[in-house]
Amino acid sequence: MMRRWLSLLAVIGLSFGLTLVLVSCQAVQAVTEVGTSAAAAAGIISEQQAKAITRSTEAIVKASEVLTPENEYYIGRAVGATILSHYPPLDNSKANRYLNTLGQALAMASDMPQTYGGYRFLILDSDEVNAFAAPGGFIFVTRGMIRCCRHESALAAVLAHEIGHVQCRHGLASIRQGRITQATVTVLGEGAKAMGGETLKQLTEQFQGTVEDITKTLIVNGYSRAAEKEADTAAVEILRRVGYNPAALLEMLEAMTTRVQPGGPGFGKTHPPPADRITIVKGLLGPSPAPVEEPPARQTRFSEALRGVL
Amino acid sequence: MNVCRWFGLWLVVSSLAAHAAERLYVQIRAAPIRSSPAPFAPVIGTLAYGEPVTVIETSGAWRNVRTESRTEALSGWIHLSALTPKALSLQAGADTSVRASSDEVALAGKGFTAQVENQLKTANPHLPFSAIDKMEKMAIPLDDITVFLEKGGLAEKGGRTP
Repeated sequence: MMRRWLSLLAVIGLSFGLTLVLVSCQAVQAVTEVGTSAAAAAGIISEQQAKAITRSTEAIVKASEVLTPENEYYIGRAVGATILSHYPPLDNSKANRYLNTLGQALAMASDMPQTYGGYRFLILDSDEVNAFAAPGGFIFVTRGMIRCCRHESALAAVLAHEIGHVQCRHGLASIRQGRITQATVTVLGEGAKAMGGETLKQLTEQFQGTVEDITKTLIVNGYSRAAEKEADTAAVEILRRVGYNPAALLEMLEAMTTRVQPGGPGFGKTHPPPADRITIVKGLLGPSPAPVEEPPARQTRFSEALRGVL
Repeated sequence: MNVCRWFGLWLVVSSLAAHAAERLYVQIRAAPIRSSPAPFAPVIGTLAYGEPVTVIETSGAWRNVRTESRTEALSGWIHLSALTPKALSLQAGADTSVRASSDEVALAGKGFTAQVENQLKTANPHLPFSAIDKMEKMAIPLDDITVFLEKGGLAEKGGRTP
């Protein structure tokens, strides 16, 4: 009798797991593990079978599900270092501190308020109009981009858009298919032993490939239009939560239409034309959004902190 | 028969209770916990990487959690994105006996880690990792962010809840 109850419970557990498969990718693995251990405990399947099921579930997961925030942090550091080998950082501690205060405040209101090592922002000493978001929250903005901003709200809109890319983990989506699966196999194959020379060599190659995939997307190809729309949607929400007028994103895009050449270097090459994004953002803001009126306190600190940049 | 039925009922109820008291692990370094489920609510403590917590309440994307491994349990609100159902120290065959401190758990992690970064640095000495180290030092103290928001007339009432 008791055995029947236990079996029934295990079946309930497993079917519950299967129902959730369609709901959330991240939940799949956890639920499968719960389901399989329940079934194993009830004696329906052996421990070994349970482990095999769990393992096969892991084998089909994507980069965004396998990589932990710690892995993302190390990928982000290497992507950041690669960006800085193309664009030198601006050595202006006052301006960079202001950028970090604004950016870190905005990030707190995002759907990923904290990354493994925290969000960090840096001004790049380049006239090109551009901004990059590396995984883990390393965000870079050029002087050229900052010069497109009339006020703090506009700069907040730029940073919120980049935070949107981090929050949606868009960088990970640009990793070539199969690379993370290889890395996972390398790590799992090693088992509980200390990482040996050959494994470390293989893993470093897979790491370098991953970093190259992401950097190429950021600097050369750009994200898909769908990803840009997601980042703009996230930006509008973040601005609203913090208390900035989200119409600042619209103003920013309008300012960029005059400064960015379509297909030209930087943002013009890696982003959809501002006009396309303006249509999308207008839809997000609703009919007749209030124009941005920047309070004097914000205007003053913006101009003072970025004196040497603007 | 009756005993079996009651036992069955107990099993169902207890499994539901176990599901409600969900155990999760902190997956970021130094995770702040807050007094209420809002982005700028006061921080009342910090959780370590890999620390196990029990969820006691849910509000949108926020979880009210209680620490499991501390002598004096700490509870507060944390964003769901900082938590994972996976026991971090169990990843990639890491030894479960090293879950003593957050540092050991971090070292136990495999995949793309500090060890792999060091290999990449040696092979690519031109990559300016020192500039990234400098960038990482630009963490703004929470009090400064609070003052920044207040002076800018922003984030009233702890910010709008995601």
